[in-house]
Amino acid sequence: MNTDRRENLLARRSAILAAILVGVLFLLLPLLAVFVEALRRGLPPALEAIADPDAIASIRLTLLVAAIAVPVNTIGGVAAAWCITKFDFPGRGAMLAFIELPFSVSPVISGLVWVLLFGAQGWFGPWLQERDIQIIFALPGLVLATVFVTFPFVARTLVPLMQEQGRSAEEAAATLGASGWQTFLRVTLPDIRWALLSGVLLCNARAMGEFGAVSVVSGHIRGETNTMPLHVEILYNEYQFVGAFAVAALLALLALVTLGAKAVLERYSGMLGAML
Amino acid sequence: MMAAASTVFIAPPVEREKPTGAARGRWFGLRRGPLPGFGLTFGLTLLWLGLIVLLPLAALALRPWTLGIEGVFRSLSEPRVLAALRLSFVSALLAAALNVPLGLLLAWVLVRERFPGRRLLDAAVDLPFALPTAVAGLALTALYAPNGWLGAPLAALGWQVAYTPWGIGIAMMFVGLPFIVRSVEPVLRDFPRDAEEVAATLGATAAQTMWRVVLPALRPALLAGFTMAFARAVGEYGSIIFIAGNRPMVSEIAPLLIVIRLEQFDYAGASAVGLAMLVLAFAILLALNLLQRRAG
Amino acid sequence: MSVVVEHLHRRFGMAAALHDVALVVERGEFVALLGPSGSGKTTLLRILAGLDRADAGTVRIDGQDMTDVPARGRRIGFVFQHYALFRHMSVFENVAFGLRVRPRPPAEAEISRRVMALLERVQIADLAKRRPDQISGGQRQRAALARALAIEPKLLLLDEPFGALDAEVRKGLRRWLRDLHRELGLTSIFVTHDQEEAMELADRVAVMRAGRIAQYDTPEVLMESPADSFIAGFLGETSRLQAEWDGARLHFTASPLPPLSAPSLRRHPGRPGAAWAFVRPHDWAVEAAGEEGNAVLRARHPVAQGIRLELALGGEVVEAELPTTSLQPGDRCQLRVLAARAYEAG
Repeated sequence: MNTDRRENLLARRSAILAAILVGVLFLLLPLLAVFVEALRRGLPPALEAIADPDAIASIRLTLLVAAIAVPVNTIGGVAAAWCITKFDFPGRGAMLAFIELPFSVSPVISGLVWVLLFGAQGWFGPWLQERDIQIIFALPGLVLATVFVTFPFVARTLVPLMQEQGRSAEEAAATLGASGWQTFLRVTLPDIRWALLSGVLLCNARAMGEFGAVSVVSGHIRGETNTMPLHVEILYNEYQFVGAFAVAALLALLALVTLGAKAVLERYSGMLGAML
Repeated sequence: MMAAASTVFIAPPVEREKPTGAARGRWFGLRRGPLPGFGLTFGLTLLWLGLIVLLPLAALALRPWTLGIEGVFRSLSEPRVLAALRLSFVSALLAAALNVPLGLLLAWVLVRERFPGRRLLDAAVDLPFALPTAVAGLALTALYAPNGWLGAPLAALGWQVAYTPWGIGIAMMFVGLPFIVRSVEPVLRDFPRDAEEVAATLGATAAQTMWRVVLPALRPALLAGFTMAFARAVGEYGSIIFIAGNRPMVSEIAPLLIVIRLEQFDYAGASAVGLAMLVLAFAILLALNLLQRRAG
Repeated sequence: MSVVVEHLHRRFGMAAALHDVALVVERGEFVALLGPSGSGKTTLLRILAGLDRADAGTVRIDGQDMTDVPARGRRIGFVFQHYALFRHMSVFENVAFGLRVRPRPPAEAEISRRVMALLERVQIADLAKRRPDQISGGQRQRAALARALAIEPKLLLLDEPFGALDAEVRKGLRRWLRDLHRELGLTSIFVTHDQEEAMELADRVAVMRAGRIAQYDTPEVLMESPADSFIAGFLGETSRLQAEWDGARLHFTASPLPPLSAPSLRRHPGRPGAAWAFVRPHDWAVEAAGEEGNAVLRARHPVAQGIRLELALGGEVVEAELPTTSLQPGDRCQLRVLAARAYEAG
């Protein structure tokens, strides 16, 4: 019995050790590498790379794209979650499946579809050209690609929670005379606010960090249609490693802030694993 | 009467679980069940879904056929395309499979053990979700390059990772690992400990308990995690192109081929590869889903 | 406020939840909808409140057809089975909600006065600042009731109001609710699957079964003359035995019991044929007997007015009640039916 327990303890200890090893070597080391490479020649060159006008332009563009894409997907996601969890209608399951679809589509395809619609040889290409409207290789294309990629985040964090909470609170509000908006603002929203915030944060992180989809629709015009991740690629391909890693470190910081905020939110709302 | 009367004594289905919305509600704009807002939210959702997801995907589904059926097959049967598709799908399946034991280990330790650094490890699991793919690609390349922290010792062993298909696998494992951990974790957390204790009182060894009691209970979650990790890996682009080397026929993934065809303004060729990827991926996802249903 | 329900139908997919239901509730009445789960009682209650729609039929409240009045416009107090208190609001805010969402809400001082008065009435004024997860089940029940009463409803609907409470709390709350109903002059309808609860509280009880109202009467009439074998079986702790009615005598077909003649039957089937006989625990005669006895005592335990016996009779187990007995488990005995109710089977 005693040796049994000792062997058991040994197995548990080695499992912990192995898990820590995986965590450090496989997950944490890449993060560390970004910061070490960025600061390889000290802080000044890294800061200089970030202060470069093209880098500043890419940061501004990234913020602008996220500022449009995130609200669009937040409104859509909340509406979809309300519709799916508060009503029964045929095709509810299909609607949910379609909402999650962008998660299983390659980012490159998420960009490609917009080129097929609005590119020079796309469905609406000639029509747009006649009117001198530029979507692909311009801000609208970047926004559309980002909206596609980040489409499911908000709905996906809200639907399971709202499903679990059921409809009786809203029904109670209705018997007490509340209107639809009153019910949403006073009863539903306070119950889902932390999950909503968490979904918005994740949506935002992905919107700012998206690479494949925007790469396809961007056209890579420096200072004009390059978002931060695209700027990283250009610098890297031009062998400006410190600059590339410096901008990458900025993006990594964004990821860390998102993770930190999400951890805080989870403690508030007591929900787990919302990231999936 | 007799049969009906006796069924009453066997508990029939619980009536509270019946759907509560009216089946006969008016469709648009008006009331459907007791809660307001169906017309507004349903319309908004359809608009958002239709414009952002369905219309673009329809364009993808239709575009290749401008080449004609034969043209599509010719375009897809180029050796370079076949090699890229094979590389993407085989690597993604392998990476997801290798992630299963790693993810299970992490989930197990996070749920069952208490040790210093547990919270940090827990946060680290989410890193691949949160880290922009381009950043991950850059970081993995720096680590596994022949002069990198991990690349150098591996190169000394004669194993080059970066700029080979191995690098692709590493990147795919990196982006897929959290899916397995996060889908197994809740099931493991809810798994009743007394099931293991019962197994022990019945004389099972730890290994037998693990194999016969715990793993079967986790199988659906593992399969679900595997499915998501695979779906993510097969389409992954940003974290791979930096580390892959991108040599045609050797380390060129299918998404990159789409980008290359697009740069040559070969819209139909690009969408043919895209559509092939989607169809293949969905076929595999469907198969995995069926498997999951059988396992669950 | 009177409620008149006519020809109400409701289907969920293929299953009929309500089939041609009619119900009249007079002003000031306290009515119970009693039935096993799945009998449609909650569906009926939700349709009354406007939380569900009928496929056909009408609901009239004080003569007004409610079909196109949404739940929010009905001013019907509804107490949900699990209370459905707003999680993020204090008890006070929960009760105040119905006042605040009015198109022209009362002044803050008026709201405060009315909410506190309600909380006093339901005896939880000291819990006003607590959140729903910080109070007990019985207190939540009171808070939910206060919230429903805040909109000054004339009609109060309660879905399994005591279902989630333990036995001790139930008893107290029951009496309190009946008193409240009288004091406020409400018309109330509540859903329950507990017949004791229905009998104790209600002026009239509608026994529901498979989407229909099987019988709607006062508790006294229901207990004394159940309309059919379902109600007889559902109400009271009766044993149900297979039998055959030949027009003059009831023969027990599956149990070794002597037949019963018409005078011993409180009710007999209309026409000869297969029947169900219902026997209440104190309608059995039990005598000690040797090997030839037709039953074996399985267990005994004391109850309020005597001893409850569990007896094996042929292939069945029946329950009988005696003031006293010296029989012990394992003893053989002779069982006889003193009185029974018989209904046509099928």
